[in-house]
Amino acid sequence: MNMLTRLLIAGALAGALGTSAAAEDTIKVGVVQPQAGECAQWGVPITRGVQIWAEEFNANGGIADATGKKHKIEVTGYDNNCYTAGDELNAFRRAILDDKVSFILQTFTPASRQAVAEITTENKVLTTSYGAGYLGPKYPFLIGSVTGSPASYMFLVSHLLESRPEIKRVAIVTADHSFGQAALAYYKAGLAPYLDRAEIVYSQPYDPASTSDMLGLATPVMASNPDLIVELGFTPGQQALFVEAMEQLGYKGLYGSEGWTMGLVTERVPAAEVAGRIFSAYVVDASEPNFSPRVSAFYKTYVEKFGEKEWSALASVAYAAMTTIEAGIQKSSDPTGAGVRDALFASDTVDQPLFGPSRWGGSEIFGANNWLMTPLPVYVTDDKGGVKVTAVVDVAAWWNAHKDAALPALSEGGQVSAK
Amino acid sequence: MQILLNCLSLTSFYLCFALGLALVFGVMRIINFAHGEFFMIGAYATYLCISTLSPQVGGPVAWAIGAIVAAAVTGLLGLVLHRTMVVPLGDKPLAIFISTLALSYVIQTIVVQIFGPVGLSIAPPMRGVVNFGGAILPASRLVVIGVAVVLAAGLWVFLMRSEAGRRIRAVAQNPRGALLQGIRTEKVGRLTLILGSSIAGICGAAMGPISQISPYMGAGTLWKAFIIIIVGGIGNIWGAVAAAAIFGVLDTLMSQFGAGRFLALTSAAVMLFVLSVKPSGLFGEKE
Amino acid sequence: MLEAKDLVLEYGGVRALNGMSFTASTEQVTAVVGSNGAGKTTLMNAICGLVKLASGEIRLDGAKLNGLAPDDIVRKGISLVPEGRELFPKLSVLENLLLGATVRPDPTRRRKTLERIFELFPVLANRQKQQAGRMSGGEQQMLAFGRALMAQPKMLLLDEPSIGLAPMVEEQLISAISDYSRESGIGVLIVEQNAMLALEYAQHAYVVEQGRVALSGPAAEIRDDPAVIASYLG
Ligand SMILES: Nc1ncnc2c1ncn2[C@@H]1O[C@H](COP(=O)(O)OP(=O)(O)O)[C@@H](O)[C@H]1O
Ligand SMILES: [Mg+2]
Repeated sequence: MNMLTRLLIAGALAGALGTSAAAEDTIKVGVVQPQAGECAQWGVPITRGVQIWAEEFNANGGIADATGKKHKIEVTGYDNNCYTAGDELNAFRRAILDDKVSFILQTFTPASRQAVAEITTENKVLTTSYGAGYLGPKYPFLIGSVTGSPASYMFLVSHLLESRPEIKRVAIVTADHSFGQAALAYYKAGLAPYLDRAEIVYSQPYDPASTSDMLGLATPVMASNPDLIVELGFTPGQQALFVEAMEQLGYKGLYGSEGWTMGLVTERVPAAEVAGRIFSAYVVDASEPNFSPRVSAFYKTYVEKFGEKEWSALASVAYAAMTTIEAGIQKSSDPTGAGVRDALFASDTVDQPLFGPSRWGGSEIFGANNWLMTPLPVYVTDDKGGVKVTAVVDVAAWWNAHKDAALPALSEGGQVSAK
Repeated sequence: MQILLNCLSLTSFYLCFALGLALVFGVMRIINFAHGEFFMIGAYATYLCISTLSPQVGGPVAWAIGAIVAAAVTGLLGLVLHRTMVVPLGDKPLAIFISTLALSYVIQTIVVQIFGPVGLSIAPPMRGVVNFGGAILPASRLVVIGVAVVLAAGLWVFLMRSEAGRRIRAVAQNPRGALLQGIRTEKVGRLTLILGSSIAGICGAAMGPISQISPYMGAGTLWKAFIIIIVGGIGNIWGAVAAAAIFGVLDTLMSQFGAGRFLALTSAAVMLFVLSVKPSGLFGEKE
Repeated sequence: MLEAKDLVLEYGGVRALNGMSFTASTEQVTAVVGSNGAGKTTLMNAICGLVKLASGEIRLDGAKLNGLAPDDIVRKGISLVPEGRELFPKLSVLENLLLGATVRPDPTRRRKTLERIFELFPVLANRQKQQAGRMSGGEQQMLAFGRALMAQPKMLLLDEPSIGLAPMVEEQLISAISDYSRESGIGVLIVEQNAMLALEYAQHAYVVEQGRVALSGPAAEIRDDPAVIASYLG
């Protein structure tokens, strides 16, 4: 055996032992999101959000489980090629079978979640999302860690109706794809309790291709003469173009959506003109400094690393979703997918690190209480193009009070899977 | 009235996008799959010019410079495409099609590497709104209409009145006949490709400020341009103008009356209908 | 003088020209006759650079033509009226004629040539704006002649000009061309299956068979030789 061969073998052994030793107490997290292509504009910030979450712990030696033992967190992004179900499953196979991850953050899109429901449950990989989609009693390992898409749409619009009785006419502008259809149903559900005093004046879905002609899309919306427009399906740039077109057509009412990239909007419309008129309800928007010091620290880290231009509130949404997993790891003495799930579901509330005590819910919609109903901050724009929290919706309370009105609308929109 | 202006505005966009494609296809019988990427490059060139120059020279001037740069860059790309693919692959239209498809992916990837996959938005260089009897037309859309009209009219004058234009038409109708007149068909092809590509670039410059720009914006629009040139009659530039108007009106009316989600479907249906009634397209010649 | 020496040309192993040699005066009408498939069109295309020779040489007034691009051959003074005419059907008569002058940019000479062509074929003058494709076969053939003459060639090549024309029109056209050739001092190389017609107007003639010259001589002799007619042109 010559010198070089020996050296190689030694190196290989050291490498193998080294990684297996590290693997013992490393927690592996997969992020299944578009990593390249057009949809990477969503997938990349989400992946970064999870990475920063992990780095915060790793900088202090890792995350401590219930026994006090620290685990480094290793985050890997897996490409799902713009949320197509087949690619979602392939990405999961790589993450679970090849890389042996214990936790995965994925989209809430029902079709994508359905594709991986079996594999995650069989392998006991705790799979969460920044929203609730395709949950159910057969799939205990699919959970929704926060109040996000699409339920947040319901709470946003209901909050606006409740806090502003002057709203009489609501236009719902959604894309004709599965996201958009879910959004339409949840918006309708949020409006359902108030239909005695407000009406839906526009709810025609549009072809995503027609967004290239924003004026053509905005003209019929304007003709329906709404006081509130809720939107879902535009990219940030399209949202800005839509607001610009509506303002040019003379619209003076309110806008609501999951989120807005205000920098793009104020490039086209003076911030003062839309101040107080644009509302959003992401799970949490870390760029707003007052809701939680921890998320605003996260925002600073993100901006330092990637620059302000690269910021997307989706990063904070992913970050927030991971903090629920974090609570489970900290309460568990066995930080595997199954162990963390047991710890999280040990009681019917979780002390969520960002949102405080939150109840498990969702059985009326999904047939299983696998969605953590975190309170939902609602944001409004100010005259400098920033956002501030205008209210925090007690999601569980609203749902208890209004589910009888809301459920039929969800059901009609094909969103209810509970028997 | 608003609907009418919307029709006009959309027609202009379709026209300006399809014009270069129809020209290249009509003259050279080449499908340039990278046409959409040339359009996208035009938009990005304009983005760069506006974001760097508009503080010094103001939005409109920065935009005009952007449009010139866009035309120059895409014209150069057309030249490169001609040199590296069209000439070497000569009379293998399928091979040219495949290589332009590859080129389109290469350009997309390069733009993603430079600017990132996330769409950008161009600060509108022309603000303000023009009123027409209660209807509005944003200034930036007026620019698109203007650009489309100037491009179409300019192309018409060039093709019908200049000697180079006459040669282009001759090659389009009968390349072998043209060769026998001593026309350098390769040069005519080069000019055509440069021209068609520049038109795509200018169109990108016009559309950039009113739509979101992204590395994939061209690919997303290309299918519509294909439908337009097929319906118009393959290779017939004036047919493309008519088809652009048909779809401009149809699509606007559909969005207006709540059928916006069926746009792709109806476009395909219109195309199939036209092909079944007149296989060579509305204004096409039998080949 | 247009000279061709030992031309060989193959289409995928099949020889279309098999050692063809001839000379044609740039002041006279020369006829090339032969049965269908003898290689006449191939010869014309080879002179114009549209197909590539395997070997052999073509010279015009001593200057080598083979190897040049088709447009350069036009510039050197060879104009072909091809089989099937190859007009630009949707362009106007005038545009077709002007395209013929692509290699001759001098406007005054262009003007003069155009006027002479209009004298020769008055129909073209009257129909300048008409689409070429909408004219009758005879008129289209006149346009094809006119377009070729616009290049001010030294040598005009005609490939089966009479195809598809009524005998009267046929005769009229060929006589116009041979008059023009005499007046302007240009050579004409005419290829015809209708051998009698070509031989009537030509001074010199070649009979080709299977890609090579079988017989040559003054046109009048060949026309009157019953043996030739029986064995080659029947
Ligand atoms: N493009 C071609 N490919 C293969 N063979 C050809 C081609 N053109 C002509 N030929 C063959 O070459 C020979 C000469 O043809 P051609 O020159 O057209 O004869 P002519 O004009 O005298 O009728 C014929 O046998 C013909 O079949
Ligand atoms: Mg022949």
